Amino acid sequence: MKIRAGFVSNSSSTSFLIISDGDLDRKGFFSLMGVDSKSPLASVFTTLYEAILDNTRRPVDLSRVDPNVPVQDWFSDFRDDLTPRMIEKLKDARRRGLKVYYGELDSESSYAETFFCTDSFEVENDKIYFNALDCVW
Amino acid sequence: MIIATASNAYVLFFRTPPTRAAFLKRARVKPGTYAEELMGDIYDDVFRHCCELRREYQRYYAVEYSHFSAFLACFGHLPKEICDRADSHSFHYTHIIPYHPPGFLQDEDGLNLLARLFNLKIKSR
Repeated sequence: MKIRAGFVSNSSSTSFLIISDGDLDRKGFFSLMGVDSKSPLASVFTTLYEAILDNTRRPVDLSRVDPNVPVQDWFSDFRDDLTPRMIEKLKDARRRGLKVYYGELDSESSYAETFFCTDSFEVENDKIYFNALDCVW
Repeated sequence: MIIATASNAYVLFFRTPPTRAAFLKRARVKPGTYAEELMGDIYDDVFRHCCELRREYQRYYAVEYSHFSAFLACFGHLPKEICDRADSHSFHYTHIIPYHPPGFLQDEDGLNLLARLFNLKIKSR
């Protein structure tokens, strides 16, 4: 048996879902989150934006998915962690032919990504829906 | 003035604290958005939830401690060099607030960001 003296911490990752009308870009993401490009916070939200793109396995074009198969099968890797809220949003997004970014944020990355990995929120405007409600420990 | 007392702890010295509206304007965040809520939470953390040391001293501890610096030294949360200068800080600054920031403000970039948001100069220890 080993005895450790000091702090012990665990790492984690939390899922996010983004539905976008077209490709997700930095300008649209900043508009959704409410950050001016000249804001002192720009670098923080740029880090989050880049983490989202880096951690999205493969964006899904919902105009090309088969509506007759379960929503979980629309992704290249079967998703069994979709919440009813996400499924409802995805079905609506398919009817509108939108694009989906699904992935995880990692708590062992940058300070900014770690912060957003542990913050639970849901935001939406007329172009983008961002569900990070699973981001909670 | 802002001083990092540890990697995840700062002390903020304000001559005139900004209003919430002025702080949000400086942050350049749009009303009704996630970013505004995030910045509003930080403002409230600092000015509503954190202990303002000068007021705390005057309200509860001035009888026990003849000098503000002695009060800070006994509380033990601040480095000695800050305590030694605390009396002059107390004279110049109306609000002295220890602050444990959220994760994205804990590194050097975070310290610089916080200084920009509150329009404070970073003081090295």
